[in-house]
Amino acid sequence: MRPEDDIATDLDDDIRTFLGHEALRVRTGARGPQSVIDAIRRIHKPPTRTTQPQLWTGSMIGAGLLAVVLVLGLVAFVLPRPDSAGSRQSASGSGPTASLRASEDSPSVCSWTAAGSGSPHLAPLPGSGAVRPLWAWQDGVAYFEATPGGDWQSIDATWVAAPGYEGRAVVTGRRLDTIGELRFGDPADPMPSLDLSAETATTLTPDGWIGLGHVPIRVREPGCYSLTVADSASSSTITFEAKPVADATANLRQRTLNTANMTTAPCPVTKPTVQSSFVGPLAGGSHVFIGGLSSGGSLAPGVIDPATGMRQIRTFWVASPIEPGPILLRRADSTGDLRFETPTGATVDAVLPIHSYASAPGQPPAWRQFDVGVLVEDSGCYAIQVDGLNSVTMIVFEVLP
Amino acid sequence: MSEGGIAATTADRGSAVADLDAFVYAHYDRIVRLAGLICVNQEDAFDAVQSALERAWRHQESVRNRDRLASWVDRIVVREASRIERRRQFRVRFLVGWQPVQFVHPADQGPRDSAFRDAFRSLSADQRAAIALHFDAGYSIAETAELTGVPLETARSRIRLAKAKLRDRLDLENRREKEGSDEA
Repeated sequence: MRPEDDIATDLDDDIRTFLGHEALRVRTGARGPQSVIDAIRRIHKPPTRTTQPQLWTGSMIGAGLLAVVLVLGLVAFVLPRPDSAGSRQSASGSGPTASLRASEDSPSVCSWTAAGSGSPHLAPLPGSGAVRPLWAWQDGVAYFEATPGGDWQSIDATWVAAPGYEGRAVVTGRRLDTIGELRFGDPADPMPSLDLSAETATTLTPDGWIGLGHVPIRVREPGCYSLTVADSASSSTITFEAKPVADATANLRQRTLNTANMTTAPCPVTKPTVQSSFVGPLAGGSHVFIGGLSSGGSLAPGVIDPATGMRQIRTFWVASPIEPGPILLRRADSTGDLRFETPTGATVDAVLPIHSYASAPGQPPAWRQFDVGVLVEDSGCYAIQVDGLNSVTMIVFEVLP
Repeated sequence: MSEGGIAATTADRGSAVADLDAFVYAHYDRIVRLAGLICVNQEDAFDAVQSALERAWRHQESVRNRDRLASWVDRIVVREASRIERRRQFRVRFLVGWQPVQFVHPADQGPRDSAFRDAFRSLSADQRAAIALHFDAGYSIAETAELTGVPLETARSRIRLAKAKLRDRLDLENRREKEGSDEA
């Protein structure tokens, strides 16, 4: 090194000594080079070395490649394609990490973390750490959806802790199957780590589980990811696969629809079983409920919708923390006509998304509410099958004449 | 350090396009050390290393002078680590009451290292990069300027200011220690 006399000081040797110690500290905890090699190998074929190729050789190779691409394109065009929104998203993703996406033939094994002990009042929680995410998660897959304001996808998460937890935790994450990032919060400029504290926690369940905060996990695309939750006492890791919510709703649609004839009297209405403090009586199972009913389980006749000529009845839907994922509503009676009022119009079924933008004063944390009305042809008895990641519920109600 | 940059490793001289394993092994230890000194968070450092190596391996053919391959890779990792670190610092500033959980690492050499680490982490990402390149990687100030993409005087100024800040913080720490022992 050249002497840098003008800025050299007696501190220089101390700096070099400290940097030497610090470098040892850094190196001790780092992963080995093989993990980088594996990640790069999954996404790239090694570049072919071409030392002064002849022009005609290059042309021949180029023409051959072009022909192969054209044939493959023709085959891909002719063959039927899977109509999954998830596969569309995977194939058409863009952005700075697009070139880092794993090749199609790369193994998609993700050693996900199984559910550990939790609370009967909450959906299954991954792992066994003191702090864990309550999210749309099933069989190791956490589902994400787009949210306004940015291009990072959201895995909606309420961070919960076991009864008696009093510490604070830092959550970080990374992508495991290829190069990629996992962040938290803002959809446009998410944070690299998440700081959670029990100081501002609220009680979530009767058995003492607490909610530390509601901060979404942000990823850009499907893949295998891990979360590390560290506090002053311990550290735990949760490995999971992230997939678009469309994959979850496609799975829900494949479930059997249990239709029933509702013409027999009397109508076997689902009586409201929950008297909520925030929206009044709710009817359903124990996970997803319909609101807007009278105490006897009937709905007021509503008004005629000029667009469809059907009776427009205001209902809303409430999901408990046992069902934090998407919910599919389907008409289950074989008689009469029932539609759902969704932003896209009157539909024969409706999907409640993961994130809820509606709430009522006094609504407990991690509960969700959705305003989705129903349209019926006439008064009568109707049934709706409600499919969530963790439950199936049949709700029967009567529309008064 | 050579005047024209770091001498090429054996693997670098081997072929115009080194194979992936050799490429990663040739640069890994050096850039883990460099990124680890620039980034406060070890996970961020590893992200910078992984991203920089992938990019460097993909574009290595653009380096005509193979003797400069190592310094070219260093430049990429410095840029990547600084970018990640600036982003982290920006975020931390806006997180009210944010306090990172402190872990004591077995490689710590004692209270002097701990005080030095606190002082070093109080520097900006650009200052840490300049200090790491100059004092640890052994680059001259001119080379440090080139690798960080700033004029020579800026690099010189960063190092000077960083050292002044380190000295202030360490002096303050020494005074506190002395006051503590006097009171005892």
